[in-house]
Amino acid sequence: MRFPKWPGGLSLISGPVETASPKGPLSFFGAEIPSFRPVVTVKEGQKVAAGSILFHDRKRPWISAVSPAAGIVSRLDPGPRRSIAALEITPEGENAISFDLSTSDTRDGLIDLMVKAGLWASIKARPFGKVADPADVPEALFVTATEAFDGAPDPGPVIASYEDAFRRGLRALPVLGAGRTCLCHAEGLPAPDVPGITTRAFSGGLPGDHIHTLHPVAHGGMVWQIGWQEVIALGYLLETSRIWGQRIVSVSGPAATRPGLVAATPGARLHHIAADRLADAPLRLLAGSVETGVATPFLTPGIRQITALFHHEKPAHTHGLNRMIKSRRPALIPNFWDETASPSGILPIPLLRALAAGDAETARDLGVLGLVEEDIAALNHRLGGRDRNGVDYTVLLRQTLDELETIA
Amino acid sequence: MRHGFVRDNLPGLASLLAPALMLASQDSWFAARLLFCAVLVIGWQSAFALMRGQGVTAHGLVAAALVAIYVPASAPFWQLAIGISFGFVLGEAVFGGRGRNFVQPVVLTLAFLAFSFADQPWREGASLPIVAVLPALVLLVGAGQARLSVLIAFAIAVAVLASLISPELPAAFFQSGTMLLALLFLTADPVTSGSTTAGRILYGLLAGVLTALFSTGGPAFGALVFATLLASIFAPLLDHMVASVHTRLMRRRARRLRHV
Repeated sequence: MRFPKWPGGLSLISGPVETASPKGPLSFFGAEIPSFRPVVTVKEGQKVAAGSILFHDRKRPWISAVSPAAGIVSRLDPGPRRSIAALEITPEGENAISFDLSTSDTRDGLIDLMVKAGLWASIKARPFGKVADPADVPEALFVTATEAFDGAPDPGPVIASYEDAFRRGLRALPVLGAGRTCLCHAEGLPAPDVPGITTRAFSGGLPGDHIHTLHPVAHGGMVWQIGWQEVIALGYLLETSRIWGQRIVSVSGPAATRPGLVAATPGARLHHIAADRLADAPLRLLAGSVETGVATPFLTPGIRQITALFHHEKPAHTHGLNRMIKSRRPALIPNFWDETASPSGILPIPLLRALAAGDAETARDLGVLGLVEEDIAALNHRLGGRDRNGVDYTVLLRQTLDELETIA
Repeated sequence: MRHGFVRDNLPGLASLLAPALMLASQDSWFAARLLFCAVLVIGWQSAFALMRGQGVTAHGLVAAALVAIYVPASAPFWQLAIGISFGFVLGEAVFGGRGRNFVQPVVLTLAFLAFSFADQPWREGASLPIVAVLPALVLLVGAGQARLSVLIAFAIAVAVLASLISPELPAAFFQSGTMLLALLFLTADPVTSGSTTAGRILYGLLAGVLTALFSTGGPAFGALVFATLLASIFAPLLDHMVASVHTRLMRRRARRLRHV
């Protein structure tokens, strides 16, 4: 029996980091990037080194994916509408590309390096939460060293064990933006003292909250944000001139018998990463938290936690009395406890009603441009969200943002 | 607490248990009236569930029980049938069901009955001791349905205005279970009492001022019902004003923080 938690308390996973033994091929789709049209630069049977580009976007060449390990492209199937149905790499050997770091202290040199090393796609721009366009210059750059959802890895100890790489990455970042570069970390953690970096402690973990506090973009302006593991990856790249071929992922959730941290290779199967940590029962794995997770079979970029849930057969309420009793589009009934989960700086009920009504202009006035899906994920989860036959407000938010982006 | 029957419907049903049992022990026709109201409300909900897919919720039972509690014991059933049909169809169902309405259907029912059939004492309300209603206060506020912002703003407005025009009103108000129950379920209804905190405070003040004014010319319960009806019509406007001010403040704050 789990008692309701007092709001604010967050249970993060820390402890020793185990290395997941690589089993089977690594898989890449690019499906997690919105409106991605891949151009594949490898062929089936080709040998790739750690750091060689696998594919990039047709219109936005700065969105690229690299192979995290040396190996052979063992499978490459085209999917519908020029997408990738399957791209698998069977790890083999230790061959790694050594990147040229000579120009990495200039803006163009750093952008070029990050694009070539597949790191650029981890920089997201707000408003709209898409991959940043290198031609833009942000007003501020946010490094998020906090976590917002239960079961995520605790950034403090992991950053401490990669301290040098993290510092090196932080030192390189300020050339990207025109304004300040803010490192947002959890309260009570010693912030690394790096020249050019503004540090700020936060009790909340959402980058949206940090941006709202320091440099709001809901009514004009643009900022970029980058996660703490990508800063470690950048620092590792700048120190060793090779890519960091792993990510620290937490395995947690009700169906995880042994929650903990795993150093896993991007593209690995979630079930391989979480092997012998799971209960012996029907279960499903989400890449992300309970609130934000997506059911993808592989470790996609930007994922820092794997949530194991028990699989419950959903009774099919599709006929007879059940269909009559259930509302087809449940209305929003304001409740104090739900509103405690709303992100800061917005009026939650008017905003959700504007989203549900498709009223993009009212939503813009209410500050929707400062939000991305993860900001309202907790609120959406409380309101029934994706799982319990409710209205999925994160989907409505994305539709509204797309509409505003086309008229902007 | 997560949404669902336990948080959203059970507190309302449990809060009405004590008042309903109390009235049932005094009035032998109460159970029949409650059943009649419930059948009628659920019937209209089912009709709109079949036609428009609005669904049937247990909140219909809460609303039916409220009507049954507040109508006078002498009220004929045919008048109830007309009042409930008007209140629940035109007050709620035509807008898309609970959550999309802007007036409280029970309030609309009672106001309609009070206007239409002058031979019954609709504006008196039932007489309930405050002890029977205190569980409702705890349950509804604890479940996050009745907002303290509405309740406190209402109490302040009534206390201030009544001290000016009719000093005996606050005492009658805060000692009567009838008024507190109506305040919790009708005035502080989460759907019709505004959707922003500042909007709810303004709504509570407006409802309190109107109640104090109306009660100078009639029973306090009738004053509360008509004040709630009028205030809930203004609630969307108050929210719109609050949202405009919020947008302006946020723009100004953004300019200050971004140094532009």
